[in-house]
Amino acid sequence: MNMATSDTNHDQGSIRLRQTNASTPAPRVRHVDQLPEETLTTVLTLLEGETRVASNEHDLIEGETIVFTDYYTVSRS
Amino acid sequence: MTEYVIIGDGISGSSAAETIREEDPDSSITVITDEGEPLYNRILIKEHAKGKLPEAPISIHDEEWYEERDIELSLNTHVVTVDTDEHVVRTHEKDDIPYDKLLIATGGTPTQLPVENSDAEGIHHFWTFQDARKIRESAEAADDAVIVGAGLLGIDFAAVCGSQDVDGKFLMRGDRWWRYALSADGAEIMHEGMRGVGVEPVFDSGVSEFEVDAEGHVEAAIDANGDRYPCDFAGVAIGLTFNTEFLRDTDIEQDNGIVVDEFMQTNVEDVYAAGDLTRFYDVLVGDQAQNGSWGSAKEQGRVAGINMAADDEAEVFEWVSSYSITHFDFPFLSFGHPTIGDDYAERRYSDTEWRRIAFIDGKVVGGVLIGDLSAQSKLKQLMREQRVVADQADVLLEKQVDLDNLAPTQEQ
Repeated sequence: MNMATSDTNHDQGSIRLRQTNASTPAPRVRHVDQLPEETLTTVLTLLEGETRVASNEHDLIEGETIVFTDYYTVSRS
Repeated sequence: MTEYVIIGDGISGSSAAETIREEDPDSSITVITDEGEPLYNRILIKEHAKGKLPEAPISIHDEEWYEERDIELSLNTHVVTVDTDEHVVRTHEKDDIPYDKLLIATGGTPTQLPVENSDAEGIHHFWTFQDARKIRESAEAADDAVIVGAGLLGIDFAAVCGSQDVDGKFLMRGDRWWRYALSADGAEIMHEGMRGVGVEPVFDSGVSEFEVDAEGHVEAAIDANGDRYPCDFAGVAIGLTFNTEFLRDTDIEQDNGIVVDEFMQTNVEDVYAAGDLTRFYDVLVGDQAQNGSWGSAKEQGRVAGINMAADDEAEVFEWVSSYSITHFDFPFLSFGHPTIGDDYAERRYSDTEWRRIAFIDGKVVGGVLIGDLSAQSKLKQLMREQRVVADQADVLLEKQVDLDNLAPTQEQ
């Protein structure tokens, strides 16, 4: 699995999962086991290098941290 | 006004309280917990013990959350008995709390090893936030540790050792980690993951006793072969004992857990249960089942809340659970019930990639994916659809699963 930074486009702009430091302040921190099924699939898809994800397929919010094999920050760009 | 009482403020109890407030805005809701702090993120406490995550993000609700929803929260409160005839919950302070609908969501307590000195200082169990704080403190000062319990909870101790630069010995009774769900091929990937973080698996071992120093602090574990493993702390994760002792005077059916139907109802009127301690009727496997995952507990609490507020069998609990291990360079995900199959199919793809699927009567009931999780959503979909597919396991073991390659579903 490619754990590198991942960008994607969707109709509210692109979403990026960026490896981050756990001490970075975040509005929300979730482990992948807490994600709704659609969001889990979206996160895994982004980490696999997918480039397009529909906005209704996740509930990720700007700045939140996702705990997976690394810590990832969600950002829109 | 209906009076709801919820015993337990874990994710299932809290989820039920939130749901009931939405469904029945004018009701009275009381949440009782013997812990000293409101709901926190039980999944993330391992990240705190690893020294990676501070305390703040782990709290989920503060006491204001309950006040804003007009939910009475009783912290540090032990329930000593329940009178299901009188519909009353009695606490250690001899308060009687009446209920119209009762939810039991008290979870479990880690089981102590039945060996000498198993309650010594420095021997940790890993369940509460307070446990995590103590483990973090011990690990930060430790050079060597011993881990006991070759399952999903034990591996969190291995991760703590890895993150805190502690040399660990993982003493396992059998020949591999999580032997009920993994073959030797799958387990070896996990063993390599452990070794990679400085934890050595020791097989055909297990602990016979702990040795303590003059102050009563653990200093070594003696295994079943008589071998001695010095340690500054020990982590024990051999299972949970469900917190149901306060139900001893009731007729609530228990069978290594509280037995509930698919609506989260016990056999006693107006009493429901949710979370880790249930033995629930799983409509997807057609049998009673158990599950300790966060998502399952949250959903059970929500469904219980719906049915309690409706005073009816309004919604069925139907859920495919996930449990992930994210401590190593490669991901691990188990789903459904990977240990109860009557048939299995598996394949190893590389040194870090492996997949196993469990079937009952030809239908997917669970599985484990290591390294490559890309198939997880499709396998879960098949479990939800209850399709008979075991005879086409090769399709499900392809690196990239394409469900269109399955033969059309036949009438059963």
